[in-house]
Amino acid sequence: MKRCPMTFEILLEYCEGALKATTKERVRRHLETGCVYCERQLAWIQRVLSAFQRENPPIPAHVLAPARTLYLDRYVRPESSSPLVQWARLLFDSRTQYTPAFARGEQEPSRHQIYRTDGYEIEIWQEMLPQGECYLIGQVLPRRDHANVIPKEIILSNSAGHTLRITPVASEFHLPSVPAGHYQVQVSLPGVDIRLSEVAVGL
Amino acid sequence: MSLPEVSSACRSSSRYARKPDHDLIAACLSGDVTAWDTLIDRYKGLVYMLARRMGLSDADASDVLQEVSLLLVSHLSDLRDVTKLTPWLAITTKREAWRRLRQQEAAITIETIEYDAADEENGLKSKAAGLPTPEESLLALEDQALVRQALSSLPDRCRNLLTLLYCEEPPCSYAETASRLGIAMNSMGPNRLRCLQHLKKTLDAIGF
Repeated sequence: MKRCPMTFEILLEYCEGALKATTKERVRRHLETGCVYCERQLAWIQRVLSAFQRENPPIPAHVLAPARTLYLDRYVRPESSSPLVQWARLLFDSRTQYTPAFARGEQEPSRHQIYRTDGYEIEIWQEMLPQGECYLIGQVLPRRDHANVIPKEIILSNSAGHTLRITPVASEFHLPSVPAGHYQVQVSLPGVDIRLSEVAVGL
Repeated sequence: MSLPEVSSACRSSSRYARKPDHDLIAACLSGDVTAWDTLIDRYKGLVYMLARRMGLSDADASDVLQEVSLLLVSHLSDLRDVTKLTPWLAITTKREAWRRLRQQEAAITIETIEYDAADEENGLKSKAAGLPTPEESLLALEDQALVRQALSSLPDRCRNLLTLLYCEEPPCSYAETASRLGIAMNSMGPNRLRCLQHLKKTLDAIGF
C-alpha cells in the first residue's frame, strides 16, 4: 500500500522541471530517503518522456517497397490473377462407415464428411430437415497449424445450374436449407480455390 | 472541432495498432496486407536506428532495413510462435549491419565496436566513451516502438493531447495545445494527467 505523500503529478512536474523551488527541494529531500514507490514512478516517467522524444529517421518510401511486393506475391494474390485450384479428395464419410444401425436399415439423420487437399481439410456436417432439405455446417482447417481460416466465399452448384453462395464471417460457415442433390462445392481462400466434386447432400 | 495536425510518427491508422506482435504475425500469414504494413511501421525505426548506431550511413542503414524487411517476409512462418519480434529483428539487423561494415572496413567502427561471436545473442560491445551501447540503444528504440504503439491506441482526445505536448518538434505549449484542442487552459493539467495514466495502463498491458 502506498504511504508516500508524493503524487504522480508532482513527480511528473519534478521530472519536467516545472516545480517551484521550495516544492522541488521538498521532493528532492523525499527522494533521498529512498522511497521505493517514488523511484519506480520516476523511472517510469523518465523512460516514457525519453521515448516520446523519438527520432524520426529519414527513411525513403522506396526502401520498404521490395519487401511489400514480396509479401504480396507470397501471401496475397492480386485479385486479377487466377488463384491456385486444388481438388479435394474425400477422406471420411460417416455414411459409408459400418454401424449396427445401418444393418437394421436405419438412416442416420446427420452426416459427417471430411475432404482433404495438400494444405487443408474441409469438414462438412449435414443434418436432414423435415422438408427434405439439409442444414449444412462446414469449416476449413489448414493442415499445418489447424488455425481456423475464414473463407472468402462458398459456392454450391449443381448440374441444373442452380447456385448457392455465401460469404462467411467466421471460420464456421452455415448453409441453412440446401435441397437434396449432388453439388460441386467451391471454397475460396486467399490465393487458392478448393473444389469438392460430387458432394452428395441429403442422399 | 477538427483534429489538429499531428506528426505522422504518432498517428494511428490501423486496426492492428493495439495488437501484440504475435497477433500481427498471424494476420500477416493469413494474407492481411494491413497487418503487414502495421508490423513494418512499428519496427522500421528500430531497425534503421540500430543500423545507424552501429556506424552505418543513412544510405547503408536504408539498405540494411530493406534487407531485413525482405528476410522478415521470408521467415514469417518461422516466427508464428514468437511473442515479441524485437529479439529476431535485433539479431538480424546486427548481422546485416556487421556484414556491411566488414565490407566497408570502416576504421572508426573497428576501433570502437568489438564483435564477439560467442556473445552474438547479447549484442555488440561499444568502447566509445559516452555513447550508449548497442544494447542500450536497442532498449531505447524498443521503448519508442512500445510508446508509439500505446499512443496510437489511445482515444483521439488523449492521443492528440499527448502528441502535441510531447511529440511535436518543438513541443507545443499548454496554451497552444489548449487552443488547438479547444480545451480550457485550467483543465490542461488534469487532462494531461488523465491521459498519461491512460497511457500507463496501456503500456503496462503490452509489457513496457
